[in-house]
Amino acid sequence: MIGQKMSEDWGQPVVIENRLGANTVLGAQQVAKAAPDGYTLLMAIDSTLTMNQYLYRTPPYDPFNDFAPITLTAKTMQLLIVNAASDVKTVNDLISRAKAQPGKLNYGAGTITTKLTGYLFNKIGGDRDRAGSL
Amino acid sequence: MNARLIALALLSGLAMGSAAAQERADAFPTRAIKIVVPFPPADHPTCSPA
Repeated sequence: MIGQKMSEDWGQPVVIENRLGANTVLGAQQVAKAAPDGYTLLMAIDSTLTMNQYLYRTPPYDPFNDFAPITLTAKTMQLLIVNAASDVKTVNDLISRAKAQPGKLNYGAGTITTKLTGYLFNKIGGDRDRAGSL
Repeated sequence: MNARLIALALLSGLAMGSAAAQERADAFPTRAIKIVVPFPPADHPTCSPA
């Protein structure tokens, strides 16, 4: 969708290349090695520019020196959600449940970002027994 | 006299170079742009083939 609008604005074809894998490392590496002529862009996310340098022993790109920022395209938010049938209605309910049943609650995370949020939640108020072991 | 001519020629060259650079920037892009999208993670459910 973004590529189509950019193509209309610029009057040139915009090709979207989905380069998935390794928590965005593969795509970022490809752009870092591309010719620095402005014709290869990277749709970077938080993992790409902030987390991977700490999650990988030797990341194959430098988020500070290999890229030049152009613009912010989108903002996202995270939601803490339980099954609708659950009797947990508030964050305090969830913390109480976690403390009453250490190591019993499960947490699903779709990305590294949400996984780290779970670690942080456990560390500051949730299931301290599972902080760092989601 | 010669010094004035040389200075004038240099200034003209700089002006032309600057105008050419500006023209190139205004003309961007002149060919296809590639946007690499590295997410969502490969093991994410939305990555499954339709």
